[in-house]
Amino acid sequence: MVADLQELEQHRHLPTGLTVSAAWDRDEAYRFVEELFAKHQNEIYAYLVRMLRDPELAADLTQDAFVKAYRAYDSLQKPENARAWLYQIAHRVALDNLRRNRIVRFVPLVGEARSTAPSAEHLVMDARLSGELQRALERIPERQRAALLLAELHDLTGLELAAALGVSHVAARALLTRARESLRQALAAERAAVEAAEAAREAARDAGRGERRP
Amino acid sequence: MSPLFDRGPFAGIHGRARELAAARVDEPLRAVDDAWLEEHLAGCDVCTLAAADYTEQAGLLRGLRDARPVPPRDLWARTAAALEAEGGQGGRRSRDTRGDGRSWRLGGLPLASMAAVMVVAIAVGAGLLNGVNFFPPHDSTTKGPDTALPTPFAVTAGQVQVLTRGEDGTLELSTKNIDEVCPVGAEACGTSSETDDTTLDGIAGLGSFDAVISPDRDHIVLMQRDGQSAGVFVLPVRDTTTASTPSPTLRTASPVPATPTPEPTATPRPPATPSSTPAGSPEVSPTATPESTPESTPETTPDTTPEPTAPPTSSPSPTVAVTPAPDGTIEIAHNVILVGNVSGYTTDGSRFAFSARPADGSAGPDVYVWVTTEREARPVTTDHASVFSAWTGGRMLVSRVVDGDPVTTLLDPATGAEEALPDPAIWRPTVGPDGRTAVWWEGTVVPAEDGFTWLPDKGRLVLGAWPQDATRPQVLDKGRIRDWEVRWDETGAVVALWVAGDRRDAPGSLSLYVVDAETGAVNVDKPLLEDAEAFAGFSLRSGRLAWSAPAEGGDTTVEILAWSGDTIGRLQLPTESGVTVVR
Repeated sequence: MVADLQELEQHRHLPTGLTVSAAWDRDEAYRFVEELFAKHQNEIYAYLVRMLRDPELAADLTQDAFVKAYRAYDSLQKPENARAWLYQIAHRVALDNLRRNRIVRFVPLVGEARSTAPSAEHLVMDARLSGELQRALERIPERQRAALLLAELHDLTGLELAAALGVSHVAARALLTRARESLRQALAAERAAVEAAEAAREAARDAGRGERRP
Repeated sequence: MSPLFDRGPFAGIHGRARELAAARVDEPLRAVDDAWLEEHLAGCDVCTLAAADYTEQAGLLRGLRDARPVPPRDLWARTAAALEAEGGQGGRRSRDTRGDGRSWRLGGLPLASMAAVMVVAIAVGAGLLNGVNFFPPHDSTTKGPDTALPTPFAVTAGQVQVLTRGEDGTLELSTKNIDEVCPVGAEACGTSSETDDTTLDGIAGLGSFDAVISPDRDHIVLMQRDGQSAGVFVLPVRDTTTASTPSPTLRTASPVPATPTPEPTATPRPPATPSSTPAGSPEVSPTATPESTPESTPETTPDTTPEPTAPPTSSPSPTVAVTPAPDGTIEIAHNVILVGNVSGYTTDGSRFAFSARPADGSAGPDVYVWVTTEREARPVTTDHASVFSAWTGGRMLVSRVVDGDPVTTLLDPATGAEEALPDPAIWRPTVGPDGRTAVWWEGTVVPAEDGFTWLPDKGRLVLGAWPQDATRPQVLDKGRIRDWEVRWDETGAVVALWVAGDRRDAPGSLSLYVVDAETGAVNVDKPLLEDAEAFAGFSLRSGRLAWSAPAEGGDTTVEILAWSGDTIGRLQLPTESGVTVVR
């Protein structure tokens, strides 16, 4: 089980299980993070893109996550937990960013300075992830969204999910269950909105045809 | 009561069916649950559809796997450069940016120089927040964000007060007048709001503490929180927004108390450690406790580590002593340890209540009340097993543990008369300003490590109708919660909930909810602020939510949400050291 990062700050364990009492080996930490990056950069980046819906920001935060992993290298107690540990770091980085920018995120039209013309990459991503599901995901609370993404798209096991979210196994399961219900309601709302919009367009077309008739 | 209190996602039999159906997507159910669900689904088309929805959504989500975004090619180069910079400059250095490309942190400016500080602020039209205009219109000079870029625009003036500590240990009270915020999109903008700084000479040397300002804003109660010997101080302050009158209760000599008052030398400031009292007991004025008798002084209490569930005793509560100071500061209690984060004034500001226990460990907590025309706080319970929960009118809600179970009663502090609640098995209820809703712990409690107090164990923190009725309350949090603090603003339009972190020194999380004016319910799924990192002790009044939060490099920031009319903004004021937000 991955321990709390802050708590782990107090320990100094090498991935091999050896304990050191003072400074950790920076070269070893660097090599470890380099290996970790090669193995997991794609999925960590993908997770952050899905959480934040901003590839540029996700790239920045992926970098940030690996730097934080480097700083916290000596806190990883078991190397076999490295993936969940990395997800935990990325998850906190994502939530920190979302919370910091929460209010801005509600006003995409007049909000962030970064929201100028969308990049080609952004457009491609939007095309892939657009639609009811993506909009519904946006509607649900962030922790619930994270739980769904990690469980369904990133294949985290129950224990890994709990570690990544920094909660107990039971709490992670409960969060996931609530997330499924939230998403169900959000999807229903999205579909109702789409149907209402289509009905309105249809009504407008009918009205237009009526006006053109002699 | 409104059915809104019943809208939990899994309420009722059909809710249970949906909960099980959703859980079944991830792991097999217990046989008994699975059988129950199947039986229910066989007769319930709606739940069957919901179960099918869960399965469908899982498939939809998995379909997104094919659309995995690809990281930019130079990501490793950028990361490697950052790692090398880390290693080349001493490893764990703090950084000035927060990873999002924005220069949020403005450097280590002490609060004393905040007068012209550049504040980081974001403001948005609250009407855009979930499509709801959360705050009532106001006739201020508020300008819309469209017309204000990038100049700061006005919000209704209001104050945020914080206490910081100088290098010599003296405390400094900074009053920040928040009357403008920055428009949307501005990463920072100059504000000219004034900061009034006052050095509080009389109470240097305090450790960590809570600070509560009186409703009239003419004095502050400071409660020391060292976990050991502590004191409670009252300081006169000056309201910089109005021509307030000095507090007659503090500046002028109070009537000579009927109880013997210790000589000033007997109560040095900072408060003496328990060792200054030979018996290890707090100083006690026997007549300070109406119910006490001279022979029942607690210094002979042999058991210094009583069990939390020990039956209440009738020995008097510990001392309260007065130490007048030249600047008008008085110490209304000393040699006590504050219990819990809950304390507060009555609405009219005439009384202040808190919970404390003797610093020598001779007894458990009691509830104390300081009448602002007096010079000392007095215990209003004597069972050494009670904690203050909330004021409700002139009476107070007091929680205690009886036979291992939490019980809350309504206590008249003037007469000592207690009245049972309709459902007394609740822990630490806090009642909203209109008296219609409250937040309380519904569940069990367990003894805390100190052996005298209790922590929530299994159960949930809920918001429900008050007085309690048969309607189902809303669940705000559940599981193990070490501590919490809930506060409505004076209008009842918003309510903030702080939940303690896992450890005493770790920050907790702070959320802000809009209150439905008709029902008193909150929209837990769409908070205005969700789980922001926050240390204990936040302020919520006059359109301001202020709290302190950890910043990079071990610094602390003061975070402020300020709203006015249909706008809401966020300010961030950096500090160099620990800071206490006056609530």
